[in-house]
Amino acid sequence: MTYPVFLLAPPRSFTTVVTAMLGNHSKMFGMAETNLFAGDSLGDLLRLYNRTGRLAHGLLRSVAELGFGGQSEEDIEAVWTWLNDNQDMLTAEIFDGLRNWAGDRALLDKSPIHVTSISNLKRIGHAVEDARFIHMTRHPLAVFESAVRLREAIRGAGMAQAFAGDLTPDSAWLKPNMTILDFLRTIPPERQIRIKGEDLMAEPRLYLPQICEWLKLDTSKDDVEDMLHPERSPFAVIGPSNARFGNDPSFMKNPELREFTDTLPPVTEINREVYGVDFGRDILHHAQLFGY
Amino acid sequence: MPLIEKMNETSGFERLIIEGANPAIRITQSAVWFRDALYIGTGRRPIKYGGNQKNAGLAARLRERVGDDDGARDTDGAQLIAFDPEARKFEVRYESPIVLYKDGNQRARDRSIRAACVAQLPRDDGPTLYLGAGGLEFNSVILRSEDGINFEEGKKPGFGIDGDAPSIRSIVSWRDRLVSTPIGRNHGENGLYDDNESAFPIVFETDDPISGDWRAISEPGFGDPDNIGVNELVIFQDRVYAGTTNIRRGYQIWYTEGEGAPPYKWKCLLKDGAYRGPSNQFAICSKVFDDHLYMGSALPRLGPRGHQNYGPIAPELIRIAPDNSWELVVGMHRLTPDGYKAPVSGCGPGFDNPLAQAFWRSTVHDGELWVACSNWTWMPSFLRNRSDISQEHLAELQALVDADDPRYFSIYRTRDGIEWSPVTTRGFGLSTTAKAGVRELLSTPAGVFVSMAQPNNAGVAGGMELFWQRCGG
Repeated sequence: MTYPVFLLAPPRSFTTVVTAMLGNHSKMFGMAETNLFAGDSLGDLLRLYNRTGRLAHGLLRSVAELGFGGQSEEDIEAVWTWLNDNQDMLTAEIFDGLRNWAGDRALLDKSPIHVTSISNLKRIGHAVEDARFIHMTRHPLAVFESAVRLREAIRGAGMAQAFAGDLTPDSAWLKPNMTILDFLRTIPPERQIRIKGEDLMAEPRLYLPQICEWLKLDTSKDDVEDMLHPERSPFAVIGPSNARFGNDPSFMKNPELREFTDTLPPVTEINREVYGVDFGRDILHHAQLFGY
Repeated sequence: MPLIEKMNETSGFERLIIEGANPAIRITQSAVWFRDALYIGTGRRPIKYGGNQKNAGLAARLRERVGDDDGARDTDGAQLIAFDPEARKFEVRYESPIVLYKDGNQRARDRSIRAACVAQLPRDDGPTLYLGAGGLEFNSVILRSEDGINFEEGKKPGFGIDGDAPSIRSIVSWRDRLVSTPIGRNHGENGLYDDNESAFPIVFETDDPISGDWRAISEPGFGDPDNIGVNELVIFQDRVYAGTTNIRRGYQIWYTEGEGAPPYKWKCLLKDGAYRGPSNQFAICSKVFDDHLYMGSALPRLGPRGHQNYGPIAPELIRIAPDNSWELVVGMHRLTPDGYKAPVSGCGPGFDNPLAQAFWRSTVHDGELWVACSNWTWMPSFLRNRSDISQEHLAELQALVDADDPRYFSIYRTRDGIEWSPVTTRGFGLSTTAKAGVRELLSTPAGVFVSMAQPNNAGVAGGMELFWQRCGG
């Protein structure tokens, strides 16, 4: 039996590459950023997409890949039509459909929008009663700096309204992690696990099989080798012209696994003088408890 | 189903009040069976003047909390009290001397008798009682007794260290010597929060503790400055194992074969709190059982540096095999450099009790390992000043604490480390006062003894409880 897996983490926490790696296991399917549980119904999602069109691309590509076995412009167009014709469908029902199409492969989702609200996470909890959750952590300084760079890049591309709110270590790291923890306290321990992203990225051969062991997936040598090639994910490339995104653009440009070395100091050594930022008490304590 | 719901509690315990304890005593800190009697080392609450704490605010809060009417005097010090189970009689066998403090006042010297061990060293004619007595202003003193009545003091207090080494938590007998380590600071910045760390996290040995000739057999903190104390020493497979307190990354476990001349070569068996991180800050509750070394954990209260306000965080239990491989027995499953670890018992931290604070003591009784807990309930610091969690979550934690009974303490037992059942989760249904937890747990030829730590000293709490299940009970 396979269980759907949701990767929960603040944005900029290795989730894209980890989803691509795990998704290459023969018994898993790593989806693009479906953002499916940002609403109760497809109608809710379509209203969200009307505001930010890119948010639809991950769902379009995932449905196309699972339903049609491809992501051509025609495939995407067909999925758009189907979504518009079924606006009353619940997102839980869509997920069940994806799950059926995946067959004996466990679906893996990493949509960043899910951790922006406890409501989204609770929606997952109700809709997918056997879901497993991976809480992935990353050093708060790395998350914050990456978020700052991304905002600057997006604004530089002309989307001045992106990240309109304040971007602080609290908003980038603390709030999403606390939202995740708030949700996970309602989930039985055996259905969740916390992973330090840096450890996984530094030694994927050591830790990816352990995740599979926790998920009770038989893992062959071929599975391990395949998981080390995130570029083989169907979502590791820019999509068709009518659904180009749905995943981290920087990953899609360079999806191969690169050697990773953790170079950041402990959070207690982060200060404004050297690193340009101070962390509040709550970040310091939670980050230390996470192993930073 | 959480283990605590599987009610199979043990009866047959009797509640006693330790007689002879002075009003200042609030904790039993050591227990040992010697010459057909149970010897209980006690600890007193901070004395009224607040000690030499540099933290004036903490000292003032202590004075305010304790008050003036509990009957405790500054001349009431730590005591060693013996219980003769045949005669059912308590007797005070050792009282702290009264000494002159730097401020010119006469006070009890000893704050605690925190370590106890029966050993036979080269100069001993037979099994001999060794104790570690800690003080509030002065360095620790080793006490030795051949009869449990007369005591001689070791020379060179504090292992002969020229520095702040006021207490001893662990003394073990190994080959023909004693092994021990200092703990605590009298003159640190954090008052009582310094009780669990040391400026000298070094392991020492001696074959004659009265001479005061202690040899350092490890480097400080095993070379890691974040090892702020060596909390636990235990002998397994004729090796010395040391569990540290590591404030930043979680406890470490080191061991030595003791070959060659000291300082011996030590190897790090486990680090990073068995890869749970600083949620397992403190190694504690070690016991050899069924050819494994069991080691528990705790999150100590360390003032502003500590994480006690971000919990509740419950403890874990691991076990180490003779080949130094390890398993998680009770705790949170996780990925580790040694492979995926899931608790062999199926129990989460604290035996699925989120209000467990530490696995404090364990004993082997009648073919079973018993593990006893301390509790967060008596001082739920995690309810204060929480800006990180939702109001709903905070309310749930408050409700959890409100539903708990501060008289209750928990002890669990196993024959194999896999199947566990409660000895009690309700203080045997006998306890009458608020409890910080089980502080001593000892199997003896007379049965099992369980003694307590209490938030308030005996003068306020009506006495120190001792629970006893007789042999065959």
